[in-house]
Amino acid sequence: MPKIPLSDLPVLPQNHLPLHILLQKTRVSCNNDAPTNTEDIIYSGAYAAMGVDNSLRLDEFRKNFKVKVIKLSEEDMEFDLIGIDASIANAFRRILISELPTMAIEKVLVANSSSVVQDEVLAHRLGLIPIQVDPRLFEYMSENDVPNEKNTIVFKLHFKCERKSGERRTVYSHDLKWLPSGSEYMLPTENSSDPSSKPKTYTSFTSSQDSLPEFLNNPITVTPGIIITKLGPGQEIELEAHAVKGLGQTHAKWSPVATAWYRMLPEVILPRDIIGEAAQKLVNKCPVKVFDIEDMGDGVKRATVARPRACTLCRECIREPGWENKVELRRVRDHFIFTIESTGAMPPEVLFTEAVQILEDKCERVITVLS
Amino acid sequence: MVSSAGEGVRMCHICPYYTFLSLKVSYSETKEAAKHIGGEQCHQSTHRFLLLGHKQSKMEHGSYQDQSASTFTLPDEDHTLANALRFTLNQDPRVTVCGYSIPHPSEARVNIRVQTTGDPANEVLKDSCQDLMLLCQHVRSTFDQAVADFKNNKGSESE
Repeated sequence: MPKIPLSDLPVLPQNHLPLHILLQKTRVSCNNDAPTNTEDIIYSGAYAAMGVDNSLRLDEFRKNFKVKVIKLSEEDMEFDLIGIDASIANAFRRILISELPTMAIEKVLVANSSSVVQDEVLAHRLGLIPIQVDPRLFEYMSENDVPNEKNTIVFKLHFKCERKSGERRTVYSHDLKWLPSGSEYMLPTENSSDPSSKPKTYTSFTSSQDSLPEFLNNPITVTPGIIITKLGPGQEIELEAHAVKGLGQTHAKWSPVATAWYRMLPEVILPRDIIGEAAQKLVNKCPVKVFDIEDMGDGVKRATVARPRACTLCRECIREPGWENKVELRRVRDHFIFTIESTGAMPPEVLFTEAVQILEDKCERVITVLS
Repeated sequence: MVSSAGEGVRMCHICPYYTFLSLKVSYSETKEAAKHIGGEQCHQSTHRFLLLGHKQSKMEHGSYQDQSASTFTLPDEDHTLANALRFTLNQDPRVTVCGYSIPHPSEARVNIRVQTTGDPANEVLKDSCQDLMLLCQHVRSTFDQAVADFKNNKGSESE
C-alpha cells in the first residue's frame, strides 16, 4: 500500500458529526431483512475523534427534553417523551408495571361455596379484580402484622341462586360489598367457655374505615362488571376477601397498569419522488394508510407521507424487490410514544409521576449508602 | 472465559446467565472487567470487600491501591436502575469502562462495574446517581406541566 502523507489525508470534520454518522446516532433503520443501528451510542467519548462531545450535559437535556400529551382520560393516556434515552424510558415502564403499589385481594375466607368453580380458582379470579382505591392511603402488611384498618380492606360476597328460579345466575365483581368495620367472621377460640373474652374476628380494626375522612362519602369499590363465576340453581357462594397492599413484582394482580408500553416514533422517507402508477401502488401497499397522493398539476400524481405516526413498520411497502431503495423506514431513537393503561386505582398521569419518583428514590438510596 | 456473542453482548462459557450488556471496550479490557463483574469467585488478595451496613447495603469490590476501578453490588435492584445508571455513567467523560450484569436471575442483585480515568469510582457512581436524579426531576416537572397544559386546553375547548 502506498504511503500517503499526513497532509493529503482528507480532513475530518471538526465539532460536528457528518450526516451519515448523525443518522446512525439518531435513527434506527428498518430494512427488509432486519433493523440496523439498533444500538445506542452512549459512550461519552464515542465521537472524540471528530471533536464532538457525547457526554450528558443536563442543561442541554433540559433544553431538548419535551413532553407532549396526546390523549388523556381517567383510565388511559398517551404522551410523547422527546429527547430521552431508551434506558430511562424503559426504567419508567418497568417501574410502572412492577414497582408501584396497589391494593389487591390476597386472602379469601370461604364460608360456603357450592359453585362448580374450585375455591382456589375463585380466589385467583378475585385476586385479579382491580380495587378502586388510592394505595397511598394504606400501609404494607408485613408477616407479623395483624390485619387492621390501615393495611387491610375487607369485602364480602354472598350470592345465592334460588333452586326455584331454575335459571343460572352470574356473579359480578360489583356484588362484592365493602365491609368498613372489617371481618365479620369469628376466629375459632380454644376456650370458648370463657365469657369474659370478647370474641375476635379475623381482622382487628380499631375503628371503622368509613369514619376516615378519605372514605367518609367515598366508599371503596372494585371495578364493576367483571364476571367472577356463574351459579346454577341451588348453588351458593359465601366468602370474605381481604385485600392488602403489594407490588407488581410479587404478583401481577398488584400491578397498577393493565399495561404500559412505548414505541419509537416511525419516520418514513421517500428519497426520490414516486409518481404516477407507482405512487398509487405504494398507497395501496400500506395497510395502515401512511401514504397519500397529492396532485402536482398537469395530471402528475406524487406519493406523500401523510401519516407517519400510524406506521407499524410492517415493512409491507419495501417487501417487493426494488422498493427498499424507494422507501426508507426509520425510527427516531429519542422520541417515545408512551402509553399507560391504568386499572383504575390511580389516574395514569399520577402513576407516571409516581414512577419517576420511585426512580429518584432508588438513586437517592444508592447515594446515601455510598456516602 | 469470555467470548464474543454478537455486537455489544458477551457471554460466558460456564454459566448461561452470565452476560455483559454492551461494554464499550476492547476484548482484553472486557476480560478484565468480566473478571470483576463476576463477583465473589474472582476476589484477589489485593481487593477489599466493603460491606456498608446490613442487608440493604451496597457492596463495593475494589482494590486499595487503585480506587479508580470498582464493582458495586446493589441488592434488590435489577435492570430498571442498573441500565439507567449504565447510561448516565457512560455519559460521564471520567468513565472509561462501565457495564452491569445480573449474576443469576434468581438472586435479586446487580453488579455494576465502573472504571475511571483516575477519579475514585464510587465518587463517579455517586455523581451519576445525582445526574439521574436531576434528570428524573426535570422529567417530572416537564410532565406535570404538560399534563396541566393539556387539561387547561381541554377545559377551554369544551367551554
